[in-house]
Amino acid sequence: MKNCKTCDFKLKEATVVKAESLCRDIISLRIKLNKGNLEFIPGQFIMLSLFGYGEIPVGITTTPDKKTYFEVAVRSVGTVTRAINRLKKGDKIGVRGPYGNGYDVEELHDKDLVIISGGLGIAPLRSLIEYVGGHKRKFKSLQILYGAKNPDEILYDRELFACDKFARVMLTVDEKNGPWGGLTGIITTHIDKLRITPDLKVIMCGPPIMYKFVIPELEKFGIPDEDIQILLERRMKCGIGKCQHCTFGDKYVCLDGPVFKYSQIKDNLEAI
Amino acid sequence: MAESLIKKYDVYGPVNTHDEAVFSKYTFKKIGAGDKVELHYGVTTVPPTKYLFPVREDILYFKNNKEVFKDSENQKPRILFGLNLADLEGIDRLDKEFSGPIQDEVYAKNHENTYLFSIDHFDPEPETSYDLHFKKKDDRYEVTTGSAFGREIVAGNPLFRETKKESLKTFEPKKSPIHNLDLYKIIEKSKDDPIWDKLTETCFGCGICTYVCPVCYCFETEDKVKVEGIKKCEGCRKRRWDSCMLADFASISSHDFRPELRDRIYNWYHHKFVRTPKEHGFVGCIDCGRCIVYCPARINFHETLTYLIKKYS
Repeated sequence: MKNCKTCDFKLKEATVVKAESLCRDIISLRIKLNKGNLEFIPGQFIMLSLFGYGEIPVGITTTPDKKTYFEVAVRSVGTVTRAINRLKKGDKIGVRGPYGNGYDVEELHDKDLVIISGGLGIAPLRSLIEYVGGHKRKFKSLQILYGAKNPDEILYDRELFACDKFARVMLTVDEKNGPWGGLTGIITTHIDKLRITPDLKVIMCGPPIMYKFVIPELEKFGIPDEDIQILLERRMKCGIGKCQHCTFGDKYVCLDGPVFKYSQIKDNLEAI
Repeated sequence: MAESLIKKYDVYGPVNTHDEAVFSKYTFKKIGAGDKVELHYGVTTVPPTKYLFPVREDILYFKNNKEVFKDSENQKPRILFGLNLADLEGIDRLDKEFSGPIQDEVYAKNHENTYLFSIDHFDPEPETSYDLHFKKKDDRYEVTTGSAFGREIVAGNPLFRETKKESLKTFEPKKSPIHNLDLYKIIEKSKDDPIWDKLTETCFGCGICTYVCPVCYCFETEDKVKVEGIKKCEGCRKRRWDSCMLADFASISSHDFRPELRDRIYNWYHHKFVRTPKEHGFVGCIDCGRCIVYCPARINFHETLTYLIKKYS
């Protein structure tokens, strides 16, 4: 029983330095470790602990370049996430990780990146968007297609509009519930507005139903399965490939993912 | 032998509960003075892996919103006494599942101070790791040591006498479908087979096959608290056995990735006979038969595998 990588489920102490409501039921937390910085790569996730409530896996939403802090976005749905949504500046939490593979950013260098996301799926991708924004010269171009139910639920909208300087941003809502200058309609109807180039890498995160409809559209444009990357969300209790909650087929989302090439998972119906 | 050990160690062994209401009247328990260890126990209901991966265990403690570290109490070393080779093999496989690729320290710690003493009537020594192995020979036991701890027990102990090692013929392994080398390919191919629908009709999805399995280890975590006024809470995080057979096992707030029992049944076979072999090089099954005996729907995985092997080889 010897292994260089170990996990004892102990936590790093951390403090909420900023808590901001992103929309009705989603909170963004800025977190600082009490000791040292969290080193991670875009696309990785942490296990976030609230004593007395439990632990959840959550994607990091800021670029690693920020170093001294990182952010996460949590939707209030269950016991743990509801309690997390009540957190205030100065509250103490526990952090484990980072876990997962994250994006192979070198592989994305000199490529035309297309980010497609739906709903809260934008959160983990924001880490990559911020990273690309900080290293513009390394990437050829960036297009973002992001859809939400209504304008209120567009997360990080101010930042995304600011991305316009280096990226082509298309925001769409299923229904307008107020003034809205962006697109309307589900994401699938706007795929044809993307600039399709031979050097394309598509990066996606959203509800499973989104993949079902978007992937056939992408395939119509002849985008190969290896160039489509999907960030998967799963129930997780350990983050280290033990608890079995996140598996599909012979893959562990916590170890082999959460970022997968579509070619790796297309034969497994449970994946998406 | 066991009696001399209980002074120095916590000894756990198989005993006869004389309870005829359950399938197996044998169970592993802490041996006290006067307890009779049953060396012919066959199969217990819950495998002895329960000492390494307990039904419930604390993985961390907290007080006033801060993690607290308890010094591990000076626990006596534990000896699992009288294990048969099947249970020893189960422990070995669980060890490997919990080690690579990231080692689970909670499990490793449980194992650290635990020593394995096995007994068998045929094999001179186990193929998997052990500390001391006894082989019944006439009215005596032939003992082989498998670790420094085992040698320490034997050294200078008047109960033991050194003899020459006898070479014994090895026994042919039992013929079982789990030893089919192409099994993983067969299971992978059979995803759409009607057998899974047929099993879904009989299976309760109760998860007993996973609870009695020595190689099953999926778990859930939960926090338990004692509340003393606002913000003053003291408690612990526990992990407990879960079962991939239960509904909601793979569900998140917005989606259930394995809502159908059929898919959960297939996942059980897939984990044991595809995922585990790919990860560790062995099947996640030691053929102990517990899941067959305790299944209330009388599902026998041997029959399923035999059918699949016949159809897809």
